[in-house]
This record gives sequence, C-alpha cells and structure tokens, in this order.
Amino acid sequence: MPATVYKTLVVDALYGAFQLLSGPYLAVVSKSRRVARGPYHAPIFQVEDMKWLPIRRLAARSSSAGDATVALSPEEREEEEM
Amino acid sequence: MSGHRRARVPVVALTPTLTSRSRRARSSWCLPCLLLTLCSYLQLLREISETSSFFYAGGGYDLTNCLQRNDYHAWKASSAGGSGDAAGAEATRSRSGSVSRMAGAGGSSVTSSGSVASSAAADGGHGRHASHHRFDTDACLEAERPAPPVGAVVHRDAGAAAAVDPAHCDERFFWNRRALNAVVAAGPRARGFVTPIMNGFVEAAHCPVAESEVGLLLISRRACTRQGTRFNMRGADAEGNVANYAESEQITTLEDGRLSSFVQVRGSIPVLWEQPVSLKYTPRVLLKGAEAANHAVFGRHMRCQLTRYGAVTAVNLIDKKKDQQRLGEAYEREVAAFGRPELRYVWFDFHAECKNMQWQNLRRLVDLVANDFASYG
Repeated sequence: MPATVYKTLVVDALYGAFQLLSGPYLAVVSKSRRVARGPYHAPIFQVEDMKWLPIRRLAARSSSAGDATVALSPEEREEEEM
Repeated sequence: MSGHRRARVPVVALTPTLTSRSRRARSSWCLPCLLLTLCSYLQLLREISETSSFFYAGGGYDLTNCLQRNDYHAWKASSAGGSGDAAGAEATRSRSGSVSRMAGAGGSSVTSSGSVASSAAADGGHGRHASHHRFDTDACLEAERPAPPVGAVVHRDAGAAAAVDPAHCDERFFWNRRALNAVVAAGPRARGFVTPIMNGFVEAAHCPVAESEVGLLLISRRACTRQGTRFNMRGADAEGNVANYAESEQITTLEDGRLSSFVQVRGSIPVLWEQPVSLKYTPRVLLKGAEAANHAVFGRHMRCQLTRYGAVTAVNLIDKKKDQQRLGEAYEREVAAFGRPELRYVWFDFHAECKNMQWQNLRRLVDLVANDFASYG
C-alpha cells in the first residue's frame, strides 16, 4: 500500500495556466467573496486571494500515485452563495 | 520586428565570476541564486495577484459583457432552443431600458478625455494609405452588434446559465482569456472550468424610491489592452486600442423585474500622441505619426466603437488652450475626416466651464447631449 497522503485543494475558480521559467503553473482563485447580486440574481464574486500551483511537481506525484492531487471544483463558488 | 532597431553585438569575452573550476562549487553558488530569482519572480506574481485584487467573476453570468449583450445571447439561445424554454426558465423578465439601450437606433456615450497640457510637434512618420477594406477584417468588427428586439421577453435558462460560453465573452474585458486557452481548446467538456475574470470595479446599492426598492449596480470594466499609468500611456496604438480604456455600466433594477442598463466608455484620445514625463508639472504633448497613420488608427478605433455600441456621442473634456488645444484640434480633424453621422462629437472644456468649483455648469454639458440621450431611449 503506498502511503501517499493526498491533499485536496478546493478552489473557487481557475484563473489559468502560465508558463514560468521554473515550469508550468496553475493560477487558481483560492478565496473570493460575493460582492453583489447581478442581473437575474446572478452572484458577482470578487477575487480575494490567488494561489500559484506548480503543475510539474503535482503531475509527477500524481502519476506515481495514479491519481490527481488537486481537485478543482468549478461549482464551489455556487455553494458559497448564501 | 520592422519597427525595432537592431544592433549587431560584437564578440564578447565572457568573464567568469567564479574562480573555482569545480562543477559542484559552481552549482552550489548558482543554485541559491537561481532559486532566489525564481522565488522573487513568483513572489512578484503573487503580490500582483494579491494587491491588485480588483478581479471579478459572475456566477453563471458573463461579467465581461454588458447586460444587453448577455440578454441577446440568452435570447438567441432560448429562441434557438425552442421547446426547452418553459421548463428551464428561471425567470422571465421584460427588459425596459429607460435610460439607454443599444437596440436599433441605440448607442452609448463615449467620453474620450485626456488630461494633458502644454505644445505639440507633429512627427513626420511614414504613414501608409490603408484602404477601408483592411479595417473590415479587424477582429472587433467581426463581432456583431447584438440586441434582442426591443421589449423582447428574455428567458434565462437556469441550466445553461451555469457555464459561460467563452466564445460569447467580450475579449476586451476577458482578462484570463490567454491563460485559459488550453482549457477553452478542450471544448464544451471543460466548460465548467472556464471562469471569465474581469478587472475593474463592481458595487451594488439599494435605495428606496416611492415605497419600492430600486437596485443600482455599477460595473466598470478595464480593457486588457494598453493599460498604464498617467503620462506613460497615452493615445492609441496601431490596432486602434486606446490607453486606459474602460466601459462603465449602470444597471437599474426595479422590483417588478424590469431592468435598464446605461453604458459609457472612456479612453485616451484616439490619435497617435505621447506625453513623456519631464521635470515640468505638465509634460509636453507630442503628436506623432503622419496624417494617414492617424486616420488609420482613428478609423480602427471608432469603427470598433460604432460596431459594438451603435451610435456614439464622443465627449471631449480637455482644455481649449496650449497643448491640450492642439490635441483637441487633432481629435476634431480626425472626426471630420472620419465623416460618419453616427459619431457625434462634443468638445466641453471642463476646466474652463467648471472653474472655481462651479460644478453646476455641468448642466451645460448635459444640455449639449440631451438630444443624444433621448435618441438612445
């Protein structure tokens, strides 16, 4: 049994992927706050914090474990809604 | 490459800073240095994403587009979907743009202002005579000017609203468009991961009016192109993008569900000019480029505005003296050369008209554009 400890990171949104000198990174919105209700009661969120995750390290780890290390939940922001 | 100056670098002797020939010794010196560089770069990115946190996203609502465009896409989707409307309809709202709408004869008011001062030297560049057909291939012109028929009932499908179609987003305000390229390329399967993020400002307020609640929503969208600090970023670029362009939308919501949206845009004066900083309080304005180059740039900019917004009222707020006057006159010449009736131009010398804090004189400006506002609905 591989004693790999997975860390699940719940994010509010995916900002995008960036190619930096040290390798590829994912920029994710880790914290957001509802600032207004838009038209048709659509919530509007403001980004409060972003995280930069190196993809290569995650990919290497996950390929050895055969599972994704980071679980991104695009619907998470919906749940945050009051 | 053509515009840049290239220089041939003669053979340079590289002087090693490390005297040790040992590979290990070198790497032990270089690695922390490299790590430090990388860490500080990442730190820089982190700080940018933390400090300038005026990034917004709508939950199931495309914040890069104004209400009318969003309504258009919803209306188009629901009219194309046909039978699915009734079941999936989250809300049925009739639109009523009491202030302004872009439908039909609609338009938006453009306030192009540049706070500048002091004299101008025309720069004789090599301008090319570009035909009008060239501009018609501009990406921004391919975008249709969408508007549902006036008074159309727009069905908002709750299911469809969960994911935003990136193809419908306004790329001018879609700040993470490039970063999401790979995700967008993955197709509809990855649609749930596409969150268009807009940079700007959002604030909502409620105010009671005659026993009912009126909701006010202010959305300001900064364009991704040609942003920069005052003086350092001025005028238009070759593609017709102007410095510090922003679209502001004021949405009013009534309790019975009616909505109105008033859209204004602002940007630096759409001709080729610079204002390099100097020791002067107001740096000199330099008008750049040949006449033809300015015509081309102005044409690109204004055609893009007219395509997106319909009729446009351009309000020029700069001074009618010194450098600003020359700049304003250049703007006027371009408007005259452009010669399209949908573009109306008003020069309101804000500092002269409202000097000594006579803000009530703004009424004169409102009177000047009253007919335009009336024609926008």
